[in-house]
Amino acid sequence: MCLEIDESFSSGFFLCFFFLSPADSKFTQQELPAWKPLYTPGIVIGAFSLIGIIFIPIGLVSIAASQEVVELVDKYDGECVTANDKVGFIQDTKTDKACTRTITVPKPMKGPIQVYYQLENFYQNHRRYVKSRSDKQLRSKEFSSVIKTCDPEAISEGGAPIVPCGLIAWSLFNDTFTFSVNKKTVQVNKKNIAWSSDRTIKFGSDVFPENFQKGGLIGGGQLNEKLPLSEQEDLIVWMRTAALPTFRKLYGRIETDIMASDEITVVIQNNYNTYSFGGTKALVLSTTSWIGGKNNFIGFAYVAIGTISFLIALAFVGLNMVKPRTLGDPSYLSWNKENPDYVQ
Amino acid sequence: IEIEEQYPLSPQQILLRDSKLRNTEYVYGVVIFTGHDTKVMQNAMKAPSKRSKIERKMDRIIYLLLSALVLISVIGSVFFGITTRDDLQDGRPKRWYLRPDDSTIYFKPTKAAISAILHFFTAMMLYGNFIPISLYISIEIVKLLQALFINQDIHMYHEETDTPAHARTSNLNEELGQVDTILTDKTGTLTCNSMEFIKCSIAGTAYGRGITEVERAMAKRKGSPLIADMASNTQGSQAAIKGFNFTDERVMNGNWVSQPHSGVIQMFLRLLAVCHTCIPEVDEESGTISYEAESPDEAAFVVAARELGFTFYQRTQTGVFLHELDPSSGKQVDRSYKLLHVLEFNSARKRMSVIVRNEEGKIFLFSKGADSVMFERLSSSDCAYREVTQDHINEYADAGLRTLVLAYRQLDEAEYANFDRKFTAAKNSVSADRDEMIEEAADLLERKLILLGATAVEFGHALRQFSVRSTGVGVSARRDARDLHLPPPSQSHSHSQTTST
Repeated sequence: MCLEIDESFSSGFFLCFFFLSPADSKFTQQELPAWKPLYTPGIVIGAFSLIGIIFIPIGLVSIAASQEVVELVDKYDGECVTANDKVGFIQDTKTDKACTRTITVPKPMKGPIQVYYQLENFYQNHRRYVKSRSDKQLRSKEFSSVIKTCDPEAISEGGAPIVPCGLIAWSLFNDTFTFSVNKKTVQVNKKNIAWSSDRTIKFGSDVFPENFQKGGLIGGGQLNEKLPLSEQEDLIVWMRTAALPTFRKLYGRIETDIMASDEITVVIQNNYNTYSFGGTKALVLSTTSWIGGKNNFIGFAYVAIGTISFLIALAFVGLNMVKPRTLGDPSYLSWNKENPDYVQ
Repeated sequence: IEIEEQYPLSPQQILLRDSKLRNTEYVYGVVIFTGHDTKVMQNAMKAPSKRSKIERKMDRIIYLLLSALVLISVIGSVFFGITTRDDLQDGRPKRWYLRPDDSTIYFKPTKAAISAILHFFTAMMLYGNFIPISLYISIEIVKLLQALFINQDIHMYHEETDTPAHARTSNLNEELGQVDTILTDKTGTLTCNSMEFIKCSIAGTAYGRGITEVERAMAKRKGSPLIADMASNTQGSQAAIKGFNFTDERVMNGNWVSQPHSGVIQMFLRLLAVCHTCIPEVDEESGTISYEAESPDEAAFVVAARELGFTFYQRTQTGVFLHELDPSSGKQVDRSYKLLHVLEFNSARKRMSVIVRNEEGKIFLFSKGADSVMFERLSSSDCAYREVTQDHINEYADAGLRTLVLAYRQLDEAEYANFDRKFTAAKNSVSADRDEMIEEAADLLERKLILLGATAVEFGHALRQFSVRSTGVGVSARRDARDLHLPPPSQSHSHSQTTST
């Protein structure tokens, strides 16, 4: 048993063990066999070539899938306001905010077609904004008065708690879109646009809107007080806050196909104020493929990595041909020599 | 007129720190030179905290990350303050969804500076994960496991003493193997601080058949089998005695009585038994005698005298007591010698002398020292074996042994009385030239000596304990403390007779 006190005990870590004779096993003597890879030129060139062979096809397939996607973007915030005072126009409840936009389809779009609204310069990641909600309140009716974190949109002017409370719900996006293709009205399916886990877990089926948008300031859209929050999918989509100031959120789906050269007419109710802070609004129609939406980054990244690997492999082949190098011999290491130089 | 008796004070009466006082009933105590100005107190420092290279590098990385964290927080706070102030322009909110018109101090546009400062602390806490504070704990766990492996290493286990490696702290595990050179003072360090009496020259005759390590190495290099066989034969014939490796049937077991110069041999052995400052310790159970000596060669001399018939068994303040082998009767006889003066060894004198009075009232001066100073003090009358002794000394030095010359003289009463008066006066003086006066008085007596012979002492076999080959460590041994410009140790004789190892 160890009974000794170390001189530098105050500055060191005290070790106390049963000091028996050392066991002579491979583990305690640190002689376990280990794989020690040997980087010969063949192995290195083969590895880089293999990376290139694997990555470039993946990248090309990804780019092709992304090219299949048809995406139409229509920025409407500038042209849908005719008055000089844009903020006054939006905030005036008496003005007619309807706006008609026409989009010509360049390529056939196979259903279902996703309909998104896109906002720019809108900071849903601001700390004050992102904290201003009460998840307990959204989940269950019995917690309807849990409004501590919802300032400044926690209680209505009468003092009653707001359901749903907080800045996120209060600033719900409230532009609406109506679609016609070749003068025939097309229905937009607004079911199942939110995550199923949100609809079944995070938003309770017994929570109904109360005192919502009843204050002096109205920030966004109204809610149907007869529907529980778990069925208000516009709200659920909006409350999944975006990480960046430029984001898209799903508005609905058009289930039918749209042919090339068809003319899409959209009637937009331009209600949401992005003019105060210099943001923009856009309508996005997009098809999908197995890779998702239109996204070239993955494909280009894979192709770039594969190309770089091929170039490195070629460089090593050239180096090995021009200046070959013999493999090292472990017997030259100083501790492997039979007659070391330092012993005289 | 009554004169008060005076006693001299010399370094011999000083009890240094941690000294042990033995065989003394009472002392008068004087406290001199204590306090914080003493060298030992000034050298008492707190041990520095040991930090390894990995820990110092880790500290640098942590400081770098902390600086980056502060920089990021400062830049973020500045931009936060600017945008918060812009949120309200002429009372009209810009980012209306943040309600800047109804805001707490953390986001208040009218007090953007305070909001920015508070945001700095918020950012520091939010980005605190940037600092890998658990890295220290991980490194500590790794070092603990390394220490366990060090304790279990079979290559660092000493089987004879059943001693495994012992990592006392895990701070400096990765600093192992940093030693590449050992610089050492030769005295005692590499030789285990032990010496063995192996040869001597008495009256011009060399005694001692032992083989030294140097001679054995040279014989092995030349390939001579004779000396090796001789060594193996003689070494197995007797039990080992600490400090005594002497074998010669001509003088052992009392056989020196029948040698031609038995009188010189008797005086030689008596000098070995008397001229020293050892203190005997008798084991009460077994009755054996061991010696406490200031230097190991003094102990070797007294052990040699004991093995050859002159047993030193007691010392008092005024005398030494021996069991002597009487050549006329062939029996052990008790003899006592009154110790009159001791002239101590130091590096300047290179010799030591004692003045004793035997039971018959005769006064003798016994002296031993380096040959360079002893030969010039011998009597100028012709000595038959002076040159032969010098040759023996040279041979011993070539064999790697340390040598001393032994000589004596008989004094008459008048000469001793004159010396005693001068020596005592010099010792009692407190002037600046006290040391010169003492040396001058001693020098009057230490001349016209009669040569007895020389001794040869071998260092212990400690060099074999260094596994220099397997560690790659170079060993550079200096000859003496003076080469290192260090003062000789105050409590031991530093014999300056040096030989190469």
